[in-house]
Amino acid sequence: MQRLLIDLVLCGRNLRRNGRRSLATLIAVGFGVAALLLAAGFIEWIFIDMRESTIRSRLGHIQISRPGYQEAGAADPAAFLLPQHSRLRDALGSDPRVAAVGQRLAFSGLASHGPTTISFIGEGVEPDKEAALSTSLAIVAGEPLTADAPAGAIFGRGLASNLGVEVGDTVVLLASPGGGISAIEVRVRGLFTTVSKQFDDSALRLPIESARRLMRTEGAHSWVLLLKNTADTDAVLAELRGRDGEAQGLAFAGWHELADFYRKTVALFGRQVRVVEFIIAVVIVLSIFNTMMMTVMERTGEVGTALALGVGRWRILRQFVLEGLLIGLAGAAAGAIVGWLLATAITIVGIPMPPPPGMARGYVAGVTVTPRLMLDAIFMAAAAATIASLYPAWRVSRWPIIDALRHNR
Amino acid sequence: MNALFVMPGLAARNLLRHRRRSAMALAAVAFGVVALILTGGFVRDVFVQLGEAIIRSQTGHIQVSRSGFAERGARAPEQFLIEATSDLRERVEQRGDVEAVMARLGFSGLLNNGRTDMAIVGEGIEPGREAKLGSYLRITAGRQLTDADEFGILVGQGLATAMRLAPGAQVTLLANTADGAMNTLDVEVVGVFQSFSKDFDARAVRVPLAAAQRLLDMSGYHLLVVHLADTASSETSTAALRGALDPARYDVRPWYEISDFYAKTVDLYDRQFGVLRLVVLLLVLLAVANSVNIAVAERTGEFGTMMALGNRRSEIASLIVAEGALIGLIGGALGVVAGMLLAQLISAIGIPMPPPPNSDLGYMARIRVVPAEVALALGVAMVAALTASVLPALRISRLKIVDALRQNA
Repeated sequence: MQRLLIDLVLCGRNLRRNGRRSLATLIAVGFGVAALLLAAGFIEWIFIDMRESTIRSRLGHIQISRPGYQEAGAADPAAFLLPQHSRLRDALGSDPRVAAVGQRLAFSGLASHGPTTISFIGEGVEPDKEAALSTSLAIVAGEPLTADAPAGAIFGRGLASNLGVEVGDTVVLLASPGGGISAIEVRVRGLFTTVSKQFDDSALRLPIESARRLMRTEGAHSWVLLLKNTADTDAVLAELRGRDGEAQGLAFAGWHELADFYRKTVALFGRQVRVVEFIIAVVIVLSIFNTMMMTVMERTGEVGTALALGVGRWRILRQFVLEGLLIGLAGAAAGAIVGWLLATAITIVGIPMPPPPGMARGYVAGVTVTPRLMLDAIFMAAAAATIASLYPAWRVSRWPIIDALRHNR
Repeated sequence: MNALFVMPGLAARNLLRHRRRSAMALAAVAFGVVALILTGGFVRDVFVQLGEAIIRSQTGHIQVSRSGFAERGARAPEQFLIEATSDLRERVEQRGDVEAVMARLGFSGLLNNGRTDMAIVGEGIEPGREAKLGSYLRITAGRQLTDADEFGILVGQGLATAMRLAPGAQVTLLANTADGAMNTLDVEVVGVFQSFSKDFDARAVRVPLAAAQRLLDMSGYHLLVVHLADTASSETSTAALRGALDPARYDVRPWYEISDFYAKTVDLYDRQFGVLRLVVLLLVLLAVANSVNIAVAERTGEFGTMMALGNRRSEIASLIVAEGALIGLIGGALGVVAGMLLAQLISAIGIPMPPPPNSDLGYMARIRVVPAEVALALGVAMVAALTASVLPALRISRLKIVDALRQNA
């Protein structure tokens, strides 16, 4: 114990004595940690942003439907209807964690304007709820849906141009609920675009009352829950699944199960980024190793003197590794502070990003440094510095005393 | 003037004399160059793979159609027909840079499985040619269309799940003919396919061109899809084809104009990876500067001796800078060679990547060595090594000879 303390004191003195060399190593470690923090923090920010915008784009946090609706609903929509009135839905509406509950009714049919008739896929929604639930539907012309105008529909831009309609035109929608034929007249209230051009080429939305009239039905196909905080998703989901009574006969799906696009983007982009992050980590480790190697090897003469005075080889080895650990920790701490300050500054200024596919506007990215990232970076750099000191320390400590002394010139 | 010739020789001798120090500085430069080449090449590959995937599964390299087809085609497809008697196909086919052309006839309508209708977007294709070129279109059940299938149909995966279709199922296609009448065609499902896009798969079907012509009661086609021998020549080939065809009658569009998704994704990725690459760049700059700086600083005593012998400070300063330049040059060259070899090696093994969004097919990432990236890497290494030697060179010019000599201790 006493020995270790003495060693530590000696290490500190050695580092101070070799001021310039220590500084060089400190800079290598510190800069490495700061760089790693910024890179990882930037990616973290992008992932969080991607998650939130996916949830708010269309999915919501939790979707409630009849079991099997997601897979087979399109073939036989009438068999998967949810009731019009439900105590569960009322209860959810007043839950403090829930921001909104929207009902949706899916249908398809033919849209006709003048001589043109083309098929569409449509969705009946509650206009006041969807403002928060469907941010990915960017209105490019006209106005969004409103509950006050049940005959006003919004059309995908591609669908509208194929149909040859503009805002204000009247379109007849035809559908065949249960074998019969049914039609309503709607007015084009606005045009929207989404991530997918193919979706825009065939999709439209209208208030759910009109959709029910067209499909001669009541109820909805899905209830979409938007929570105030994404972190509550699992808790709310578990509660819903644990309920009995009315909850039976319902299927609950969290956003993570539904967001195929998001999941795959994260998987792919995550792997791509990992590759670059790996390169960054290798550069950091190599640069720490390089610096450590140089600064230790320069002190061969000093080691020779120590050996000649009778200091054991193991002790010298331990001394250098301890120095590596000390400088690694100090550099990592300094780097973490610098990285955090830089991250805060960059987030305040913002990194302007171009619009993602399907979006009209770009956004401003920032850097999110989580405690986990910080610990990872510090641990990596300190470990790299310690391990990097092993090899040169081993080499100088094995040096023949005379040769080592000769380095003193 | 004389100094100009002597200097490189002296600098080289110095580097040889301090073998270990030079080796470390060289290693730092070489690592840096390798890291930059690998990062740049990897990001490049991400873009290339994305482009190839879109070309192979959706757009082809160039599409030729009647002017205005893209905007208004779905409303009145019969007005944008390229007659079967037109010599367009032969003219395009004869061009040297063209590998293959195929005709497509688009239609939209309904698909009926006996229980329900779904809106679909269909394409009449030439099975033999498409099978050869559409390598990203994977068949998940059943088989590809062949030229022998007169009334076969391929359905997208999403559509097959929704309508519970398996190979062998009988379905009916409904569509409007050119004169407005409703026409039906009974076809048999031969296979289920999966493309790059899930949205596409959820509503896409493919039938032989002849079947589509029969359904729509028209001859000819809408689109001529051109595959080039080399993706890199897309731009020049498009320009050449535009020059050869009457612009008032034909639209010639390259794949990167057709796919909005590609352009926007590349923009966004470019920025996201740009941030990471900036981090790598800064890291390399600092690592190189750090190593070169230590190597020079350790030799203060030597410079003291030179000054004591009557060498001018400016001579010593230029010697140091010349050494820096040499280190940058040699280390850079080593790095370029190592980077290219590593890139080859990694490409041969491949980095397994998860499926891109909208797809279920993973792919192997490679590293593409781009001349511009190599030049950038070399430039960064040179600049870093030079800048790193300028600072100590300036310091030497302020050093007292006796102080410097004392460092010889």
